[in-house]
Amino acid sequence: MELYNRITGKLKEYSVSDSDIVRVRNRINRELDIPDADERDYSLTNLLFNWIDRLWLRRSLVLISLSLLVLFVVQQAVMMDRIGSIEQRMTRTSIDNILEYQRVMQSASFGGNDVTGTGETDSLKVSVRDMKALIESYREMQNSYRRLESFDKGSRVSGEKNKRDQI
Amino acid sequence: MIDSKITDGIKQGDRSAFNRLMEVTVGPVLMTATRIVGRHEDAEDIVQDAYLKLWEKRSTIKSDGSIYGLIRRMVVNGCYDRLRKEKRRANYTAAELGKSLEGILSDEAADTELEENEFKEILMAVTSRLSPRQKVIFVLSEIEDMSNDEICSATGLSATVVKSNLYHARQKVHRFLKEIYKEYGTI
Repeated sequence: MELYNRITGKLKEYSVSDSDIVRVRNRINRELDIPDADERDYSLTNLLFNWIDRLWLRRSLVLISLSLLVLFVVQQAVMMDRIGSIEQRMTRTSIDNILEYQRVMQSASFGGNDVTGTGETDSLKVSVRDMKALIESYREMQNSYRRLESFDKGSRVSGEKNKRDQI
Repeated sequence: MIDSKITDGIKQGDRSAFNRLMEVTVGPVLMTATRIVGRHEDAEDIVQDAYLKLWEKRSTIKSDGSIYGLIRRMVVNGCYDRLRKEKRRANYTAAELGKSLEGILSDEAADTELEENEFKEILMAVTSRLSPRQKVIFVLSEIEDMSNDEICSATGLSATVVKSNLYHARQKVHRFLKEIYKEYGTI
């Protein structure tokens, strides 16, 4: 009986270690896709998606979300860059045109013999006298148009008056 | 120790509740399993399978029952199935057991902890002549210090069956130790 008690007493002394217990828990957690106790992640991404049971699905969603966010940021950057470059081109084009026009007119005013315009597709060289003649003819045409306009108005008014008189 | 909130949480699929259950129960059930089957690897497999099965069937857990009792029963039954599947049962002679016990039970070794292989050796030897059911009941009673009612709860067996198997198990072990005593005298 004494040997029996000594044997059972000795067997009772044997116990499992804490590392054994942790190992088993981690094995179970891995099977259930739960992060191990020492690897548990308290990041914002885990807090956002911890309603998803499967860890692989949670990680996939995080990856997709990050990718979409990056794509969005890149797209915005590209769009802003393009808008910026369009604005620059418009401004430059306007300024270039104005500067070119001013240069031409200054040359004509200060009596240069000829003027050279620099268009994108071709270049034209005219004399100052021709330029002045061109401007003069343009003014005459403008005056003629105004006279025609006023005559047309006048004839319409008198035509209406005649009709009323007849009635 | 384990309140109904944890049980309800597990039934609803709350993994944090399941984690809390494991924090409290894995240690004791792992120790029980190791003491029954003798080998760490086998005990860990049995415990892991029991918890995974519990999680799979969490919706069927009874709210009024003890979840710890349930997991313990699953582990004990897992151990019993493992013992039954062992094709060959080692048949230790009295001489072999006497040799194993000589060093382990000596006065010099009184204060030293039992190593895993020593534990396995003694357990295998002492229970080598028991049937799987007798071995489970013997370990639960004599090493785990469970009462008969607790053994009934852990095994799902009736009180009569438990008492009968425990009586026969003790008888066999005593007879085996008498052989060693005859062979070696007092160890």
